[in-house]
Amino acid sequence: MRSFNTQLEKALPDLWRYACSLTRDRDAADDLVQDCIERALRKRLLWMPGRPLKPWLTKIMLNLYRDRWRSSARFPTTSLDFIDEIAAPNTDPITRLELRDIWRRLETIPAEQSQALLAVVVGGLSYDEAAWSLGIPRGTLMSRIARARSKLKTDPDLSSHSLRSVK
Amino acid sequence: MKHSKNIEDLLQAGVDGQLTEAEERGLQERLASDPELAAQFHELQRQSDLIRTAVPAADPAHMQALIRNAQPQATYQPSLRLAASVVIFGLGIGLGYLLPRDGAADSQSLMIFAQQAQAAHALYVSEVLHPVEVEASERDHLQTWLSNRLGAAIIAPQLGDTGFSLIGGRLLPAGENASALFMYENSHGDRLSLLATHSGSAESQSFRFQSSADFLTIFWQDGPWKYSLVGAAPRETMDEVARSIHGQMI
Repeated sequence: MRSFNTQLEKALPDLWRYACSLTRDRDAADDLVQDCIERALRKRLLWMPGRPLKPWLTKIMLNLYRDRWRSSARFPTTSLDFIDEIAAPNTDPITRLELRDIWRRLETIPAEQSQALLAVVVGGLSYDEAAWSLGIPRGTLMSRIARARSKLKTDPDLSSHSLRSVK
Repeated sequence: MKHSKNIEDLLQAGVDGQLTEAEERGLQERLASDPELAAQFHELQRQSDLIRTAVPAADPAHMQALIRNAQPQATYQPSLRLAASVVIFGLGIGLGYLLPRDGAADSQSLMIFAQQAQAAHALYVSEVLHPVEVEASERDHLQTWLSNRLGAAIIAPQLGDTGFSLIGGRLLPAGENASALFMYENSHGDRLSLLATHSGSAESQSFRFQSSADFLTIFWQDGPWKYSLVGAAPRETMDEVARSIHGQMI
């Protein structure tokens, strides 16, 4: 029990940030994470004590996310408020443009690729943990992440164009 | 210049912090001697940083609140269902141990029996290795053994029509009596438990339902026999199974 609660507290910040990156909305992330904790508490019997809890929680959360959020299309478009809110205070305009660009692109790549990339980069999972959470082999995970990254690459010429047009 | 797949993998694992110390040293050496590779590496790193930067930091107090709101004892609206199930589960166990000698009103004791059944099902349903003590392959032995222990003849109902087949059974305490638990499973791996006990009372009570977050329990009393059917199947299925059992047990 102690171990469950301790691991839950430890895993939560990454889990919540991962939820944020998937839903792009703080409130939606709250809902998702809270549902995830509730389900985890209900299914506590199915968790093997001593095993890492974070991948298990992530798996539960991904199931909830795919069931509900994704299909209901509640958050259909990139919420740019999200970027503005987060990156507002101390980011220079160029970085902000890049941020917007990356997050816009993230939305256009296949969900299976962005979920893999975000699980590692934002969710702080190891390759093995992320692969387990997503129910795919490690090699598949790595190639999905690689494909996501190459699609997110900002073309230096393009970004300087958009910079000029903004000015 | 296009690098080989191995180097790409190494770069990526390096950016994601997935390398062992030795691999990390190897990577740093390569980066030091290959500026183009180093540029590629830093570009990947920058991309990851940008993605991370955009995601809000998790406020510790807020995280605590999320955990609190999801707790069973919380009285907030979303957790009520869970709270109820935990209370019932606890009651089932608590009453089972605390009040075994109290031959209280039949209705109440049937209720307690239903809670014990739910607690038993919750305990054994996820058991992979030993969900039952005696397997269905030894059905005759199972029925004889349980009948002897219960002090009255009991058969394991056949639920073939509803898609459930017997996995086996076990003996459990129910207050001061013994009870028989039969567990069934369908082709999807959904499990149901039927708990039955035999006691002095000869009253009959019709079907009653009790649902928690995880399970639906249908319980009834047929003369000296009390039955509780517990499972996570939809209500219609559970109802059908209960009627089938009721029909066979008379």
